Parts: sequence; C-alpha cells; structure tokens
Amino acid sequence: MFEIDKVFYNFDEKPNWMLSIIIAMQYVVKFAILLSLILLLARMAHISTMDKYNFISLTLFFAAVSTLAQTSKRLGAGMIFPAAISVPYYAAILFAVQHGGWGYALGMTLVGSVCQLVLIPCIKRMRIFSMACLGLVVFLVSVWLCELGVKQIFYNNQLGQLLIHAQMGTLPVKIVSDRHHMFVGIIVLVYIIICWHAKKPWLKMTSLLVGMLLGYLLSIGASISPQVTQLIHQAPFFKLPYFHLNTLHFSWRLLPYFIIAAVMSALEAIALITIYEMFNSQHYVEKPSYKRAHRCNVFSCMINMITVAFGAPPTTIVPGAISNSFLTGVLSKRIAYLYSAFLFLLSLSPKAILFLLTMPAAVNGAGLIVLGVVILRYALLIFLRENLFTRRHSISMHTKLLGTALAVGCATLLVPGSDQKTLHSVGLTNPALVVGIFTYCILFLVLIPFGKRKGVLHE
Amino acid sequence: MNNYKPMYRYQQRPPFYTLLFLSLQYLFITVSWQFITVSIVSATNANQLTKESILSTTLLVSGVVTFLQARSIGWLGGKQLLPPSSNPAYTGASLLAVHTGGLPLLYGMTLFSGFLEMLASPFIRLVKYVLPNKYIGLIVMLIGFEVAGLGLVRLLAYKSSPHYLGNLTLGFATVFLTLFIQVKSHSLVKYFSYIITAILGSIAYLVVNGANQNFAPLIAQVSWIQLPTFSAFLHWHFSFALVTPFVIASLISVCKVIGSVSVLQQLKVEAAVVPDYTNISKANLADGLGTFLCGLIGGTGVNASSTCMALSVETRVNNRYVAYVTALMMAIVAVCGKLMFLLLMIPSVIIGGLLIVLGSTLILYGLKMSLKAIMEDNLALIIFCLALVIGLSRGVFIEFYTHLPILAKMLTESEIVTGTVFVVLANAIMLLCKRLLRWHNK
Repeated sequence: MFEIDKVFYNFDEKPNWMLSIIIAMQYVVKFAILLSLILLLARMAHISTMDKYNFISLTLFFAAVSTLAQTSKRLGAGMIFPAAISVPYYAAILFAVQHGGWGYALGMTLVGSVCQLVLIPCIKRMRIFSMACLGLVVFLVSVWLCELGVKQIFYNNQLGQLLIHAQMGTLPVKIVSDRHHMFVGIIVLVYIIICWHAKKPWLKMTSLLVGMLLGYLLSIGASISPQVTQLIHQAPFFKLPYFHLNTLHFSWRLLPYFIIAAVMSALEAIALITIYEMFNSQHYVEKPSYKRAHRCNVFSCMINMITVAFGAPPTTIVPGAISNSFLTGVLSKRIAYLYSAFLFLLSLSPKAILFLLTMPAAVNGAGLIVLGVVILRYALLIFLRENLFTRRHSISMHTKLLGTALAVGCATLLVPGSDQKTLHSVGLTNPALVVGIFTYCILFLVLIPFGKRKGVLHE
Repeated sequence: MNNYKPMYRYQQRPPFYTLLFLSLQYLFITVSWQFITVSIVSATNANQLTKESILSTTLLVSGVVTFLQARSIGWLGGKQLLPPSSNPAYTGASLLAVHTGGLPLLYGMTLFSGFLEMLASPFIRLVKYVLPNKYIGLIVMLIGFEVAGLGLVRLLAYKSSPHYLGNLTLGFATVFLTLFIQVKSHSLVKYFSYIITAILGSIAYLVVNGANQNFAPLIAQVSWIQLPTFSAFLHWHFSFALVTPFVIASLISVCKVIGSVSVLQQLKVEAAVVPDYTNISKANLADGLGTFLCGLIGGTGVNASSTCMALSVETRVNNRYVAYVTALMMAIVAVCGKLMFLLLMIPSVIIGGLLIVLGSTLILYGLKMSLKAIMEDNLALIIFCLALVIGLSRGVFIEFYTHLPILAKMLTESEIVTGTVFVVLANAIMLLCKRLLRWHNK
C-alpha cells in the first residue's frame, strides 16, 4: 500500500550542516529557472539592464523574507515553505504589463493580494471545497507541472537560458528541440527516480541536486553559448539592491484576471498545505487545513503587498517546493534558514544569478516531472481515501461532478496550440486548473441545491 | 446514485421502448463519428454516388460487426455490446492515401490494416505478460482524456462563427443538461440523457444560429435509398510508403479494443477483475474484420467505439438485444441516405458537449479499475503517474511527436499507444531490475 513519504527530520530537528546545505541548495537550484520569468517580465516592461538586476535582487530578497517569516510559529505557518515567484499571478502580470504597463501590473497585484487575504475564510464558508475537490486541485496542478517538465525536455532550446535570451533581446521564436539535451534530461529523470527508491536516505535526499548537477556536467560545452559567457563576464559580481517606492495604478478591466489569480493562489495554498499537513503528521488528514492555510496565506499576502510596493513581482509557496520537501523528507527549519541565507547572498550577486540560470532547461524539466509525480500520488491517495472511485457498485453525484471537472481541466491541455496560446494570453498561467475548478464550481452550484450541499460533500 | 450493477443482464430482454431508446443512443453516437468518413470522402474527387456509397458501406459494416460482436460466431465476436464507428486513428492515414493514390489506394490500405488487426488477435493473449492488469485502467483513462479532448476541440471549433460565444455556451449547456438529467432524474429518463440532450441541443442550436440556408438543396441532392455500390471490389492498390501510418492505425485499434472490452467484461461480470484475453482476442478479430470488410467493399476504417463503451458504462447496459437492434438501425440508416444526412446534421458543439461527459465517465471508470491495485505498489504507482503524464503529453506536444523517427512515431501515435508503450517498457525494466537484484542478493 502506498504510504505517505517518510519524514527523516522534523521541523525542530537539525540535520548535519553538510546535508542541510545540500538540501537548501537543491531548492535554490530548482527554483533558479523561475528567475528567467522575472527577466521576461522586465523585458516586457522595458526596464533597463541595471534595473533588471535590481528587479531580480528585490524578488530574491522578499522571497527570503517570506520563507523566514513562514518558519515563525507566531507570524507565519510555522513550517518550511520555501517561497519563489508566484506562478498563478505570473500570466496576469504579463497581461497587465502588455495592456497597461508596469504600474498597472503592480497596482493590480496589490489588489489581488488584498482579495486573497479574505479568500480563504470565504472559501471555507462556501462549503464547496471538500477533500476530494482539493484532490482535484492537486491533480490538475501536478499534471500541469509534469507537462511543463515534459515541455522543457522536448523543447529545451525554446526555454533554455530564457534569461540570457531575454537579456540579449533575442528570444528564440522557432520551436526546436536539441536531441543531446533531451537525452541528458531523460538520464537525469531516470537517475532521480532510481535514487528516489534507494534504500539509503542520503541518496534519496540529494537525488534532485545530484541529478541536476550530473545533467549540467553532461551537457557542459553544448549548453553555454559564447554570448552567454560574455554576458556572465560583464555582469557585476556584487551589487546592493536599492529600494524605492513605485507608482501603482488601478484598472477595472484588469481586475477579473487578478481575482482569478488570487482565487487560484488561495486554492493552491489550501490544497498544498493540506497535503503538507498529511506529510508532516504522517497520516491522512480528513479535512482541509483551512486554519494553517489562512495563517500562511495572510502572511504571504502581506509580504506581497510590501514586495509590489517596492516594484518587485509577488512571491508565494510553489507546488515544486512542497514536492521537494516530500522528496527529501527533511522539514527542518534549518533548511528554511539556509535557503533564505542563500537567497540573500544570491540577491547581492548578479553574476551568480546568471550563472545559475545556465542550467539547461531539459535538466530542469526532468526535476519538474519528478516533483509533479511526487504530488500527483497524493492526489490519487485523496481520491482513494475519499472512496471516490473505488466503490464496488456506485459512483456518487459528487464524484460525477469531479470527474467532469477533471476531464474538462485535462482536456484544456489537449486543445491545439493556438487555443492554448489564447488561454495564456488572457492571463491564465495554468488554464487546466482555472477551467477545471470553474467547471466544478458551476456544476456544483447549479446542480446541487443549497440545503443538500453538506450532505453531498460527505456522502 | 449511478449503480454499476448491470441494468439489464446480457441475456435479458428489455421492454420495447427502453430497447428502442437505448439503441437510438448507440446509433446516434456511432453516426456522430461518421464525420470522419465525410472528411475523407470530401478530399476525393469521386462523384456523389460513390461518396454516398462509402458512407453507406462504412455504416453497414459497422452494423454487421455490432451484430457479430454480440452474437459471437466461432472465433468472431466477444459477446459484448461494442458497436464500431469510424475511427479517428485512420483519419490521417486515409487522407494521405486519398491524396497519394485516390480511392483504390484507400481501399487497399484499409484492407491491409484490417488484415493486420486480425493477425494481431492470436497474440493478444500474450498481452497479460507485458501489461499487468492493474494498468488496464490507465488505458481506459487515456481513452477518456482523448475523448474529452476531442469534445473540447469540437466545442472550440466555431471560432470564426459570428455566434461563437453563443455556441460555446450551448456546448457547455449540453454538458450541464446531460449531467442534470443524470443527477436529478430518478426514472428511466436518466439513461436516455444523451438522446434527450442531443435533440434539445439541436433545437437550441437552430434558435441561436438560425436555419442553415443550404439545408434544403443539400438534402434534396441525397437519395432516399442508397445501396453500397461495391466499387472497391478488385480495385485495390497498395503502397509500401503508406504501410507505416496504417500499421500505426491498426496498433491504436488493438489498444482500444483491449481497453474497451476489459471495461465491458467488468460491466457484464462484476467479479471479472482479471480480463479474459481469449474473449478480447475474439472481439479484436471481429473488429479487424470490420476494417477488412470496409476495405474489401469500399468504406473507411472502423474500430470499437470507445464512446459507445462509455455510454454502456454510463447506462449500465451491456445487453445483446440492444446490440441487435442497434445493428438493425445502423443497417436501415446505412441504406437510407436522407436519414443519415439528418443524423449527420447534429451540430458539432452538441456532440462536443456529449463527448466531454462520456470522456469523464471513462476517466472515472479507469480510475475505479486501477486505483486500488496501483496504490498497493509504490513503484507501480510511479509508473502509472509517469505513463499518464507521458500519454497526455502526446496530445499536448503534437508537433514534437510528429517529427520523431519512424519507429518512435509508430509507438507514439496517440495518447493511448504512447501511454501503453511507456507502461510496457517501464514494467519490463522494473521486472528486469528486480530479477537482477534478486540474483545479486543470492
């Protein structure tokens, strides 16, 4: 029987320094590629090169602050939640930058964060989201994550070194795939899966970092182009970030996109924190962890408000971070401290940031697939424990609705590329999740009368 | 509650009206896939008579195979309600054949493909050694995702229409109405949700879009009685260049038969946890014969309809009388041109909405089949998850897969084949590693 992944080190336990550094580095290396998204944003917003560095530094700085704060039992959730750039807000911000400018993107993110503050208590009262529905959220998030990983392996040249191309202003337009990188990506994937099942815990804990470094070494020579080397050479080694308040704008037209992003952020937070709670307590959780999700969310939103005031994009818990914790089995707060420390250090060195970004996309994609599969198992566990699909004779009304939402959500990934682009261009980072949840909510509200909702959720 | 206990046992005779409406649903679903044959014949420069004959032949053969599957004569037919329909797997290959060598090449290659599928039947029993039963649900799930994906594509197909938003709303309303009937109704009506929705949806479509101006002249062109002309007979061509796409189509067809019959077996005998591969082999032989006959007398490739299988799951019907009446209805529609034309006029958005609901049924049933067994083995769970992701990626990154080398392309032609091949390979590697470890420990 599938058992919840084993925890090797609890929150208050302290693994040795060597292991702690390796695991913290694992988080940093894994999420470094997300920085390329910031650079893409900066390019869209026509920000100068030096400001771009500051832009990244500020994001890293606030991600570090957010991670530190979440480890505090008084302020945050009292857990290790390494933060990175907020993915649900990303497409909405990109849309706002294209259709208004950077001021609108920041202003609307602030509005989105305010909405997100009150969303979790509202979601709790709505009585729509049962454990099974959170299973649906985790399923759609993990499938999307895996597909993103597959894309990075297949179309590695399109995504690889996105930052560098964004810097140079030469984003590749032709979709090509490099067989060499693809092969390396597959090797990394196999290595991580083998180590994941190794009997020795240290192999499991370090599988992602070692796998990615192995991939980096295998693709060296083929991965870094001369222009990139020159760019890294030109970047300053040390640069202090500067803080200045930005002008924020508001637009009614952009509001729906940011409200969708806020709802998706809140839902992701509830779902991820619930499975995290399962992992932490080492047994199945019967109800969504609204309380801890709310604490985590409140603090995350407040940090985001400060972040956008200083002109940087918002940060949040990313599904990959939760997944990485499951993979390593280390929940020690020492990891969070070290991760924050690394982010602080990284925020001071543009050269180091650029160097980290030379990690080939295929290698990163392999890691992403494993991280997606790690949490996909939890979605299936929820489906099994909620007795959804395994009843001998019957399928409940609620299951039927969930099944339709699952089908529509996943089918969104299968529609032709032109329709996919349309979905992304209207501010949806993960269209599968948005469409799936929207379908579920509408079906639930239309088909199930108010009085029967509680019964349906628990039937 | 939607009971999975059979509504009517295989041998039980349902009341007349129930039988009639259930069969009508199967007919409607089967004919809705005829758009594939329409798109293939539209690419030819054949005359109206030949075009009508191809449509008629395909549906007629589908009727014959439906009867054979239910009746089972010797090694033909798996004693299942499994009507075939025009197969999307043949679309690309058939269009290529039509463009390269016209109708004779299409017939010849379809004949070849059917023969290959029949040839695969004896080897289906070996599948149990390479594809453990716990992964059969994965194939069903992938079929479900493919069906739901096709449904969504058909919903979004009206982009250029001035009534795009109205049609999109209508498509989603179809999903709602079907579910509404299934959830709310406590009578037999819930089992006829698809036909009710199709009729109401078509009326609503007419209200939104108005009547088609070309409808009257088009239906006037179609003859009342259209019998197959057997134009293909002794006019078959063969091309080695087209062997690969037709081998791929056969492979997809075999995978679909394995998934579909496994589900129907569970529906028929609840205790059937392990698929009966002899039965699947017989069903596959009949299915292959369908494609073979189409090639022989002038039609396009057919294959066990996964949407009909989903309908069986939804309505809990796996009954031979329903199969017989469906076969008879197919034969009637096949020879009555105007009737077929009317059925083909059912709007794409309505069919899209219904496909989404049917796809979701398959996904749920696939999960139901595999989830418990998969969760008992950690490594199998990872293989299952990876296969699901890799299988889905076939539909997401079509461009990548279409540029693969020929052998890889053959093994990754659809979501179903990609997922199945991945599971077979991963399972083989896993078994090999376990053996090696055991040997090492000794």
